[in-house]
Amino acid sequence: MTGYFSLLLPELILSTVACVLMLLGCSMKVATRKRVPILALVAMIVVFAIQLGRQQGDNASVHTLTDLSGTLRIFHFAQYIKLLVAGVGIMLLLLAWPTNAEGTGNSAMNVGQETGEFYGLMLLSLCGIFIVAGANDIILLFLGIELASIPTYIMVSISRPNPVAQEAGVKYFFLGAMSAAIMVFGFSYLYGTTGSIKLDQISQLLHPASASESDPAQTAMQPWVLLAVIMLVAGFAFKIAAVPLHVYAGDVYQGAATPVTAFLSFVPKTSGFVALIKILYAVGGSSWALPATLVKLLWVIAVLTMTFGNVLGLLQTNLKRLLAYSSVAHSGYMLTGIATLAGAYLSAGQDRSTVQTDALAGVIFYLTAYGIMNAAAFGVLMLLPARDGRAGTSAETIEDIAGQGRRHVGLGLCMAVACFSLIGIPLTVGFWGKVLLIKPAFSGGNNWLVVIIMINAAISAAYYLRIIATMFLRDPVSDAVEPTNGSRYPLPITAAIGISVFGTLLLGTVLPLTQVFTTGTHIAARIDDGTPSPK
Amino acid sequence: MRLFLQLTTDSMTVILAQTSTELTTAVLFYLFASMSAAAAVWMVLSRNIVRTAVALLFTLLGVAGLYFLLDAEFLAAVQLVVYAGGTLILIIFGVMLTSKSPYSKFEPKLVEVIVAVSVAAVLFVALLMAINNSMPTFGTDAQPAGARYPVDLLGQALLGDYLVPFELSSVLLLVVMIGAAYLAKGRKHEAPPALTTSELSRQAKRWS
Repeated sequence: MTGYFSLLLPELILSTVACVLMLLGCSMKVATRKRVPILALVAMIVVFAIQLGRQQGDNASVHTLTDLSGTLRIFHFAQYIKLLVAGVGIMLLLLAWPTNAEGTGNSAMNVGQETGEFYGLMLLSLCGIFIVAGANDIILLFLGIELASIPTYIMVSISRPNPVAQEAGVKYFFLGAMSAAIMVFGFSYLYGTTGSIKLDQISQLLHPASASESDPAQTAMQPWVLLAVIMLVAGFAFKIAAVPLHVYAGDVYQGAATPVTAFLSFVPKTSGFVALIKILYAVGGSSWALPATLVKLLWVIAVLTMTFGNVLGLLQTNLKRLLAYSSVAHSGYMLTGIATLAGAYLSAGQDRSTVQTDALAGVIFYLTAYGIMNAAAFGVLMLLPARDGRAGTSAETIEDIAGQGRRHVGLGLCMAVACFSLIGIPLTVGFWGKVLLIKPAFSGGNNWLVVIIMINAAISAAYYLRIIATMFLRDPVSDAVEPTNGSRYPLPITAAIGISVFGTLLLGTVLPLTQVFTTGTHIAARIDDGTPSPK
Repeated sequence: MRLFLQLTTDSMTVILAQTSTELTTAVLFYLFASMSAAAAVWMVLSRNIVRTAVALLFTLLGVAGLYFLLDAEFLAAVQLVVYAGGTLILIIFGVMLTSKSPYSKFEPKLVEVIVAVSVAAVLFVALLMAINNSMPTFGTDAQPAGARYPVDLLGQALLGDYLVPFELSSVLLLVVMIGAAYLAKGRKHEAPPALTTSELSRQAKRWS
């Protein structure tokens, strides 16, 4: 048992600083408003340091954090997710750094007078995932998911003064509200059938400790629980932009300013995956005994998401739209890990728990890899100028980047690294991400899933290589306008690109470092230690 | 003999009283349930927004009545005050302030109707199948019959066991308030009007 203060220290820091930022943002002085992102960065770094301190390897006593009422249960999984989100959050914050003289935005973004609100909302959204990771209570889980999502609806509208961004924000809000309604409907059935709102108690109710571990009958699920889980999966599928709930992704990612698009491609996705894993764990018990219907559903969603994302990505000419569909495809890859995890109880034999741990660790590793490598692609887009030179607009279409790799060699190479990693070519972190997803899929007997992942990686190579080819092989378009305000390579944004590219290459080439992360994700695959929580 | 008679009449009274309570409950249940269901159907079928709002009022009142029958007085009162009172009035204000005519109508396209009906039908069939297979077995937390949910215990629970969700919902409300204020304030469009996303998506429609 631990007090609320030390349990919720990172969340408290983030939400308190967010409130301070909103107050600072009200100031009339430009100098005060320019301090807003600095304070936000300091808060993120402090939270990152706290989380780094809480990663104590295998030592369970440090991780085992529950509160008196059992609302929060924070174990290895939650601690790792918090560290990941804090780390990627620093990069996302650097990408959104205001670099112009008035402190209102950078080459791709213009938040006007709303600086305080923008960064405050960003911190609150990250705080939402922290809550999702630690929640042991379906009310808190729902509130956490919404706290991660609702700020993003507003951030999309604030990020650019264009009607495009306003339209994207409103669209995203209405669809998000609809998905939240379906999700909360599912939660209500889960509560109605089990009579408990605590995830660990739901798990004990559905899978009493006396039951045999490897009994296939364990997977039998009451129709009401199954209905609840399917509704929850539908709600989370919206957050992770899985087919068929991916339709908003193109418009919203394109309409938002590029740093916000980068934010959208990581934050709601992470909250959706974390919540999905926690719910599957709650209804499947510690041995992940899930019914075949649900496994099939997850399998189909995973395959459709990968394939649709990649095929639609092939057809885009707008780069932000292309990266939106690429992000859909990456959700699909991660869903294959979830499908393997869910199917292992029924299909894998003796080594069931190894397959499950590997699959879950694979998903967590891929989430890490995606968070690291994705930032560079968006960062490079931000620094490349748009052809028509509109204020607050950076490169958006494939024409904009034609030949830019020769003009800005460094940026071109960074983009190349990001794209190679997103394809999954060796020597990058993306390669290990795919390997760690494919390995458990094989040993779990999901050979078809492996084949489909491979085909999809090949399809995705076509459009990622097209980006690199356009940047280096085509002639520069003569009317490209260089940004006039501020320096051409502002430090915070180049720092974010640098961290991202360095991380991608280091984790891909330095094997001991990759080993550290794979061990870390295997430890993180422990969601709960099974100690009974107080009633 | 007299004692026996006395006892019989007493027990008869008790039984009669019980039957009448059960009967009243049943009558009230069917009344409230049918009111909610009928008003919900009216709400979906009506095309006039104001009428839809009025239909929603009756649905919410019916649900509040059901809460009263379940001995959840606090929940019922909240339902009346927040939904039937606050939310509904907000909806009507929204309609009055935004639409050009108070008689504005929904004109859904045929495709939209088909999609909506099929989604609702799938959900309905799933619910029917679930009911057909088994009635939900409720957990052990169910209150014994006749027990009340005292409001003071509710307050203690909100600030005790459920402190974190309670505080978090206030943070969430702060976010929502900022968002609403920002959207209501509006912002000058500094850039020349570009293509809107719907135009872009129309262009891209053949692709996606």
